[in-house]
Order: sequence, then structure tokens, then C-alpha cells
Amino acid sequence: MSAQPGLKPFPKAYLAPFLLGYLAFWLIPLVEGFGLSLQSDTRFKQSEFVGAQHYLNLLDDGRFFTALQNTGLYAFGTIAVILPLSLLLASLLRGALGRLRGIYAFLLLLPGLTPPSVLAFLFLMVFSGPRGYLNAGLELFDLGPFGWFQDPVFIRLSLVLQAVWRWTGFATLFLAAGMDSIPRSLYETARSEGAGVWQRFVHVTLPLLRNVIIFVCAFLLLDAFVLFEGAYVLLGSSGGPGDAGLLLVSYAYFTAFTLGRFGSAAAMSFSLIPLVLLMLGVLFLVFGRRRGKEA
Amino acid sequence: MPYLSFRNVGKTFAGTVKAVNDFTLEIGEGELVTLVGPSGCGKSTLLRLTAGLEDLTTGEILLAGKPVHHLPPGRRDMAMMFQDYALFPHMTVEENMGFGLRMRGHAKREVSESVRETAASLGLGDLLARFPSELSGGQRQRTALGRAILRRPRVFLMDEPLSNLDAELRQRMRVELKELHGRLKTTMLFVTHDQSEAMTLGDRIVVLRDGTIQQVDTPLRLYNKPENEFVAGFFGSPGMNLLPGHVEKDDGGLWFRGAGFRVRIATGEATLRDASGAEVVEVTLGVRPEGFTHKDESVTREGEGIEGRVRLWEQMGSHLLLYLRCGSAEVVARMESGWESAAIPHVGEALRLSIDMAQAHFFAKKTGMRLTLTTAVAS
Amino acid sequence: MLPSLGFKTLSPDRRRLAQRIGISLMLSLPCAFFAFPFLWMLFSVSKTNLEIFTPLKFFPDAYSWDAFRALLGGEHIPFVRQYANSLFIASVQSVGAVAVSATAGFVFGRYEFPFRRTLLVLAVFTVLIPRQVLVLPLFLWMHRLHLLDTPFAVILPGVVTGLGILYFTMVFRRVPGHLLDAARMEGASEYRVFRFALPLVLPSLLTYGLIHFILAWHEHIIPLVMLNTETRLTVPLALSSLYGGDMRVPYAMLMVGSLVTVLPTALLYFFLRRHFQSSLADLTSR
Repeated sequence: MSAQPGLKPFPKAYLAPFLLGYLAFWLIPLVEGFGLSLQSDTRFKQSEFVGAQHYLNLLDDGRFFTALQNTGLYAFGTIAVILPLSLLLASLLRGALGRLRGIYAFLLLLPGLTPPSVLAFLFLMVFSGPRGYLNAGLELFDLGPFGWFQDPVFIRLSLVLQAVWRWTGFATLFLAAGMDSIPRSLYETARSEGAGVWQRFVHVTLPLLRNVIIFVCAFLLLDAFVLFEGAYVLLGSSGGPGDAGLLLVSYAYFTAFTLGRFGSAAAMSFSLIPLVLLMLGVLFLVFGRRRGKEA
Repeated sequence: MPYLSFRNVGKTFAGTVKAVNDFTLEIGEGELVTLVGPSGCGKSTLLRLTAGLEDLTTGEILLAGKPVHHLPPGRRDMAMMFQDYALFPHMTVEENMGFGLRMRGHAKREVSESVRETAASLGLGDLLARFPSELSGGQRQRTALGRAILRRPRVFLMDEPLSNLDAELRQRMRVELKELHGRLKTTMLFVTHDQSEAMTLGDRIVVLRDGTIQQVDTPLRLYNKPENEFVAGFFGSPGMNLLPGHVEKDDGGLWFRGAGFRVRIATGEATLRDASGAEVVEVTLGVRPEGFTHKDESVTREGEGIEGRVRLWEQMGSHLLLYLRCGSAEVVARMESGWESAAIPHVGEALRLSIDMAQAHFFAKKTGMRLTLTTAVAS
Repeated sequence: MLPSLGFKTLSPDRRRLAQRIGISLMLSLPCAFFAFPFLWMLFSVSKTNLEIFTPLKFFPDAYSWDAFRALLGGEHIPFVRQYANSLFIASVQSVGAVAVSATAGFVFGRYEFPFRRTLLVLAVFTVLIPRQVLVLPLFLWMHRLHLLDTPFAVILPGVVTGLGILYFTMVFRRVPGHLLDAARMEGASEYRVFRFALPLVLPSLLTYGLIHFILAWHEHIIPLVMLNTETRLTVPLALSSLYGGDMRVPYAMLMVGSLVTVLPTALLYFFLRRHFQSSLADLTSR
């Protein structure tokens, strides 16, 4: 007689909420949204199948490309500023007096704990309101005042600054935790081999932080693609002068809920998916291949 | 009547890796059986199969005549002790020990009473409110033991429970465990990679290698009559010397010729035969370190011993270990203490040792299986 | 060796201390910069609109609680009601997300079963797709379920998150297997083993709950689409409707509103920071 090589029992029921929720709030909306993007722009009823028409229209839509360009610039800008800045802050944080560490971490994190709409409002009031602190400060150096919400260049810059303000704290905390988990002995070895502060950072810290860095970048990237609140509060869903603040999600929102063109908006949203996947792929290519070592 | 039986138990991981292979064994009630083997030999897997933490691929496991291999771990009425003790960090000693009874729905008072009783018997009476992180290694070990014995399981499964302790404590716990077993008389399966632990604890020892049983026997028989080369080399410290060579016959009798030496196995007509009765010529000679003696040079004639150069010797107090290089082979011999004062061996010196043929073992070179010496009677 | 910065003469211990103080001073600058607007907000609670728009005016001329009273008293917007909505939505959603993610993560992290990989890949997929992409179909879904303009239209779509499932898969994989085996030996069923494992991963449960609460508390576009009755709005929506620029609304009120909106997340972080830090360290030391 032999044992029935059946399955080891596993608590199947624990998967049920996930599967159910996944079906209801991911799979069905995905399929339906995609179907919607193939339908004509009528609300709820009497829509007809138009195939890839909306996607083809997007190719001719100048505003869509503006939104795409803005979003790309914004994503690149936030990562380019936040990553080095938070690496520096994390290194400093680890060198600070133990008691102050918690307070500093909290202060850096404060914007991240604040709802982005509130953050945008505060940003508007303090940094770049018509007569805000930033302009006032710049005037001391005979610069500005700048039209932070009139000049297309500064609109983009202020969107990036806002993201920096919001996310640097979280990125710093993650990176600092990653640095904490690097064994001291590695630094001591590097030191005894004659590596200076910068060399230790480049040859020990950075490679060992790779996973955390990838995580932070992926997070910022995903967030950049769905940025909505900041621009919405500052500029409404219009996009501001010269469409400088027009982002993909706000354009899709505007198309759907202001113009009522659901099909087009759905096509716009869905065109985000391959874009995001492409960007993440690039990210992993850039960071993931270093030394070809598996994490 | 066997209490715990394994019938052709096999376990294959990921479809290809055979961790346990056709394992058949019967254990009597109250017996303490140790499972020993090098790491990766499948001994822990076997224990986990018994516990129900893994599903077996083939075969069956019976407890008191009833198959249990389809039951979940909690319904087999066995208790397991883990190498890292697996104490629940968020529970006190009391909660840890009473966990099993509480899981089975026993009343709080009843649980706390038996916890107190067991804890007292293990010397944990004052530590009931502590958390595992506040205990010493020995105390943790006792807590885990307490958890295992508290609900009087039908079988104890021990997965190297002593290996995280320091040498002194391990020795003490070994004695305590043996005593405890004598008192409780619960069937116990004890896994270890330490041959001396297996020898001292087990009523019987199961030697495993690559998931296959090598030998099942009492400690003494295992030591004196190893079934194969692997078992021979595994037990004893230092292990048995295994010298490759072949058998020669001449007028003087049966000889073993190794690398650079020749010893007489027996006088007269004799052969080495394997279990099937076939004569074997290519053999391995096995001699335990204590199987050598050093006699006066004049007494040791050619053919009674081996000669080698002294590489090193280690003073162990009660005895002395002598490391010799004999041709291409390395030999370790154990000499009684005091011996060196008569003839201090210098490193590099030539030394002649004779082999006590009554204590010698022979194995077929090809299969590693034990060979028996048969003297031809009247032909 | 350190360059001769004048602390050559100091003992190593003192030199280290001096270094730490120096670094701390350096750090206080960016920290002040990050936190300054919040301080300004605090002091603007008592300002008149005129004072708020006076450049470089930091302190108000007089301190008062008027703005607090106005906001809590329901002038312009039913703020208390909206605050309660937000709290309800964020709490229920984060508890739900922890429950769904932890149960699924436990199964993914500790068991082998058919289609395990496929399901896990599907979960990862949701991490890569921004939920905002699905706003439109979700809106239509909720319309059909007659849940529009109820808190559940906002709560439900956020309960299943790939991030949470991946996180808990990782967390449960790190639980020492022997502990779970010990529970099994003592008679726990696989379902109970999970309940038993929960206290072992408490910091991770709290951390994920915190992160999810923050995200839910910040959520803007989903509630914007799903809710429209004023008494059912969430705080970010309500506040941004006020920013909309009716100059008759005292800005001090907005300041108060913004300030109390930061409160729950800040308090939660403050109380859970130990767990948060230790879980971060756990995750990053992978």
C-alpha cells in the first residue's frame, strides 16, 4: 500500500478575499476599461464599437503628447533630484546625534504625511505665491520675482519641487534603513584598505543599496505617472498656461469628466500601462545589470 | 509488537531529489532510537515525515498498528523538539509550555496546574512569567522540553535538540534526557549528526546515508560489527583507519597487502567472503585506533604489523594519539598513557605497530560491504 | 586619518562627538526648510487674509481661535462630518487591506500550491498598473452597484493591493519555519497557524497599516470621482474646494483645516515609528 501523494493542505480560504477583490476591482475594471476604450464617446448607452479609433486619435492629439512629455519630464526630474538628495540626507542622518535622528526624520517626513492637495496649497502659499517667501528670498539676490504659475518653465519646476518636498523624507528613511543594514565590518574592511569617505560610498554603500534604490526609483516613477492632485490643485484640470502643467492623469480626468468623452479617456488611461511598464523596464536595465549579480 | 512502524517510506522533493528512500523500520514501545548520519542524509526529513510536517511520497507510517501518515501533525499525538527550540517569542514560559493543551481545548486551570508541575520537575518553577528572550540557552532548552513532555504524547521526536548548547551543558542535558526517558518510557526518535550522542543515548541506532538505511543495531554491535565501510568510518573518535589493498594467499596463510606493508590475516586455508558467499580479493582493511599495539622491536616479526613514520602525536591525558604515515596511507593509533615514557616517538622517526587481527574488519573495495573470514575446515 | 581640521588634538571619542554635532547642524538646515511651511501654517491660523498675503510676515498681529471655531462650527463646509468621513474611509480601507494582504501573503509565502506563481505574477501586475488608470471603469462599476456617493465606492477598490500582498509574502517568508511547525505539532490547524503567526509579524502589520492609511488619507482622484454630496466628501476634496478661490473664505480657516488634516498621519507615525523603522530595516536587509 502506498500513500496518496495528495497536496499538502493549505488554508485555501485565505486566498478567497484576495481572489475575489482581484477579480472585482482589478480584472473586471481592466477588461471593461479596455472595452470602453474601443467604444465610441457616448455616455452609458448607445455606444458603438470603434476599434482602435481612440488610440489612433491619440497619435494626432497634440495635447496628449504635451501631457506625455510633461509627465516624462516630471518623472525624470523628480528622480534626478530626490535620489541624490535623499542619499545625502540619509548619510547625514546616520551621522547625526542619536537623539536628533528621530526628530530630523520626522521633520523630513512631515510633507510626506500631508495630503498632497494640502501640500500643494501650502506650497502655493509659502514658496511661490505671487509674493511668497521663495520670491521674496530670491529678490534678496536680485532674482525674480518669478511667475511660478504663469511661466511654463517654472510651472514644471514647481511641480518637481513639490514632489521633492513630498517624497524626499520617505526616500531618505528607506535609504537610511538600507544603510543601517549594511554590516559595519564591510566599512571597516574598506577603511583598512585605504578607501576614503567617497570611495566607501561608491564601492560599498551604493552597490549594497541597489535594491532599495531600485525600489525608491520605481515608486517615484509610478507616482510620477499618476500625479494628479498637485497639478489639479494648482492649475485645475486645464493644464495652466501653455499646457505646461498638463499631466496624463489630469488630461484623462478632464477628457472623461469635463468633456464626457469616456472612450477617449479610457484609451488615454490604457496607453499609460505600456508606458509605465516600459519605463520600469528601462529602470531595471539601468540599475539591474550592474555586475550582473543577482540580489 | 512494534509500536511505530515505517513501511517503505520514501520522500522525493521537487520530483527528483530523493531525500528518503525505501525506509522500513519497526520501533518498539518505549524504545529510544537515534537516527544518525552526515548532514543531508535525510534524517531530519524522516523526522518531519513522522511528525506530519512533510507528506511522504511513498510508503506508510503506522502508530500502534494504525496508519497515521495521512493525519495532520496535531492529530498524531507526537511532540517535537527543534534544534532552535522554536519557542514562541511572544509567549511566556508558562504560555509556551501550555500551548499544546490550550490548542486542544483544555481548561485554563488544568493547563496551568500541569504546567506548574512539569516546570517544577524541570527546575523552571521560578521562570514561568519570563519570555524566551530572558532565558539562558539551557533554560530555553528545558522550556522546549517541558512543552514536549507536558501533554504526554505517544512519541517524542527530537531534531538535534542538544546541538545549540555548549559542550558541558550538552553533556548534562544528555544525561538528563536519558534519565527522563527512563522515567517516562515514551517512545522516542532522536535525530543527531553527532555519533557519540547517538551511541550514548540510543537503545538502537539507525545509520542513514543519502536517504538509505546503512545499518540498524545496538550501539555496541554497531561499533564492533559495522555492516559497511561507511558505518565503520562514521563511529568512533577518531574514526576507523581504512586501508585499501588486496588479499594474497601462500603457504603461510591468508595475507593482506596494503601500500608498503603486508599483514597476516589467518594461517592455513582461509578466504574473505561477502554476504552472498563470493570470495573477494580487492578489500579494505579497517582497524580502529585502539587496534594497534606497539611491541618490542624483536618480537614484532614481518607480517604482523605495519611500519610508518611518526607525523605527530597528541597527548590526550588518559591516552595518546599517534599519527603515522605508512606509504601513501595515514594511520591513527591510540596508545595508553605512560607508554611514551618508555619509548618516546620522535616526529619523523620510523615506528612499527602490530595489528590485533581479532579487532580488524574487512570490507569489499567495490561495494564497501562487510566481509567475513571463513576458514576452510578439513578439505 | 582625518585631515588636520584642528581636531587633531582631540581624543577619538571627542572627535567623533564633534563630528556628530557638525553633521547635526548641517542637517538642521534642510529639515528646517522642509518643515518651515508647516510652522508658517501654524502661525497663520490666527491671521487675517490681509496678513497672510503680506510678504514675509510670519507672526500674526493677534492670536485667536476664531478660525478653529468657524471650521468646527461648520461655516462654509461641514468640516467635522467630512473629517469623520475621511477617518472612516482610511481606517476601514487600511484594516481591510491589511487583512486581505496578510491572509494572501501568508498563503503565498508559506505554501506551495498549483498556480501559485501565476497568481503572484498577477498580484505583481497590480503594483505596476497605477490604480488611477482604472478610475473610469471603477466609476462605471460603482454606478452599477449603486455604491456611488457612498464611502464604499472609495474603500473597496483600495482593499486589494499588489504591494501589500508582495510585502506580506516577503514578511511571512521571513518567519522562522520551526515556530510554525511547533504550532502544528501542538495541534494547530493550518488556519490557526496563521492566527498564531500574526503576533510574530506585528510590526509589519502595523507598518503596512500605517502606510496604507497614509495613502488612503491622501487619496484624491478616486473620492473626487466617486463622491459628490458635500456631506459625503473627504477632507482633501473639501479643502481643495475651498482653495478654489472664494476670497470671502478666511484663509485662516484653510490653515486650520490643513493643520488638522496632517494630524492623524503624523500622530500615527509618531506612535508607530519604532515598528516602522524596524520593519523598514527588515525589508531592506533582504
